[in-house]
Amino acid sequence: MEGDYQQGVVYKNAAYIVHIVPIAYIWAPYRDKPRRFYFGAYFVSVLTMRRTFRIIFLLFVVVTGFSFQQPAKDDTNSRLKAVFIYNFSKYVEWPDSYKEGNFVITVCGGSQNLVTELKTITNSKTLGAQRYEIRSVPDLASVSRTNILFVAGSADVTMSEVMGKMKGKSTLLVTEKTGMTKQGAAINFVVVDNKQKFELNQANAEKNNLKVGNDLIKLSIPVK
Amino acid sequence: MKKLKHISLLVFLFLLTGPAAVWSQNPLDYEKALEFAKANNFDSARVHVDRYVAGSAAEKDADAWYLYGFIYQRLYRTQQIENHNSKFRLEAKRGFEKSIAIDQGRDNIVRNREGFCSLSLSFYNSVVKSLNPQDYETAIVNFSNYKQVVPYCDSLKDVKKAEIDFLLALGTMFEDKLNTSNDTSIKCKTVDTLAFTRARESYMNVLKIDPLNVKANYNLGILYHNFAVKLLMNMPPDADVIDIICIQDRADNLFKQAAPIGIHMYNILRDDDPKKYDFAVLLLQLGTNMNENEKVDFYTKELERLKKIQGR
Repeated sequence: MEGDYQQGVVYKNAAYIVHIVPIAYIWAPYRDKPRRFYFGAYFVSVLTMRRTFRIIFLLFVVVTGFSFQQPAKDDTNSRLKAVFIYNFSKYVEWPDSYKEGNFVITVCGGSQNLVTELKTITNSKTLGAQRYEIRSVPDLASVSRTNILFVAGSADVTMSEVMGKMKGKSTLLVTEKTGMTKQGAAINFVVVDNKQKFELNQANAEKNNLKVGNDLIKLSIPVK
Repeated sequence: MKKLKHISLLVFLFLLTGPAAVWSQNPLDYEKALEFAKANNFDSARVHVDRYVAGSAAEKDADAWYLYGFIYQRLYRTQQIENHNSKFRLEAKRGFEKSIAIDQGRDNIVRNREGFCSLSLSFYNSVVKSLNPQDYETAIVNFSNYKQVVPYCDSLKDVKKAEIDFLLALGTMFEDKLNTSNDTSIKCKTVDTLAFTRARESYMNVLKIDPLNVKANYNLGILYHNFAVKLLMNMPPDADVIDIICIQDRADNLFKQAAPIGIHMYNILRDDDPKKYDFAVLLLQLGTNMNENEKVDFYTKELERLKKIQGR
């Protein structure tokens, strides 16, 4: 039994040579003990040693192998605005003339992330018989007939220019600058307590023949 | 008739318990177990040692329990080495523990120590191998066993450090699981998925041991931040607007839990510590997601400053 293990320990692998010293050390206290003391100690010591290298390696893997966590860099604000804008399309009713053709959402001067999110959200979706169409335009001059117009805060346009362009059209005007609902926008994104919220000027929407659903009114910050 | 029934019952009970009692107290079982063990016949050794320790004679016999532990350890080694829930290994642990509880003498402690050392490495090995999303419960049980046996092997071993390493690895495993899952069914009222809860619990447990542990604080901050981002990015666009607002509130709440962790650690870390830079990145992202432009400006500048100091 002991010979069997000695063979394994000493000759099987050069690395096991390091076991000789510990085994001798483990044996030392048992020299004057009955046989049953040291055979057990020997066995156990060998079991321990034979696996040491693998375990040290695995231990190394555990301690050093944490995948380094990093903060997610997704643009949550664009995502939230896109979800809100998509929902505006469901909670606002347009006149019949705007229920033909595609349901167009135009982003003027906004970030590409918002456009991408809107395209992702509306992909293969319809509003009644209308398919969603997302347009991204660099300036006001490029805006054509649209159901929703989102004018980004970074867009290089004044509110009077926007109002001039949209006059008489049933377009839901959505902005993201302080005070815009008092200058003609129906909906304006604002940050309240670190959160993205939206102001609603129902009268501005109604001027453009748009009917705002009660659920949207309840969740908005009303502005008159 | 009634008397006959009583007698029959007594005879039956005697037949049932008598031989068992005699059997279990056979002192030869110990010697036989030892002989079989020496002959590498551990299955037979086990039968005898089981019988021996079942009797009252073994109650104060440290040698018998040591032999019991040794035989079961050998059985584990030869038959269940790949089984991370091995019952043989647990019996070996029980044997060594009983032996040492009976006899606190130096020789017995030294003799059992070898068994405990072998077990501690074996349990740790199982922890490492089962630390994955499928077998993590096994890893937790094995780490608990490792914690119990390792002081008998090495009284100077820093078990707390090992526990911190384990909990960090466990938390990271859950966090990875959370990050890779693409659960689009997350609703406002069921945001606390198991992976999130378990990851948070793991990091919190590290902080109970070491409140200023940089990795645990950082990972916990990242966990809150990234889960909030996940909630927002995965929110179903067709959900009711009320649900959308609700998810937004939950995400905001998570951002607000991450912020003080990040700020606290950012303030106590030295400028030349690379982790300070990582906390600044986290705080910048939090500022962005919480629409706090002043903080975004501040941490953008801080990152530039730290880049210069740390030579990034």
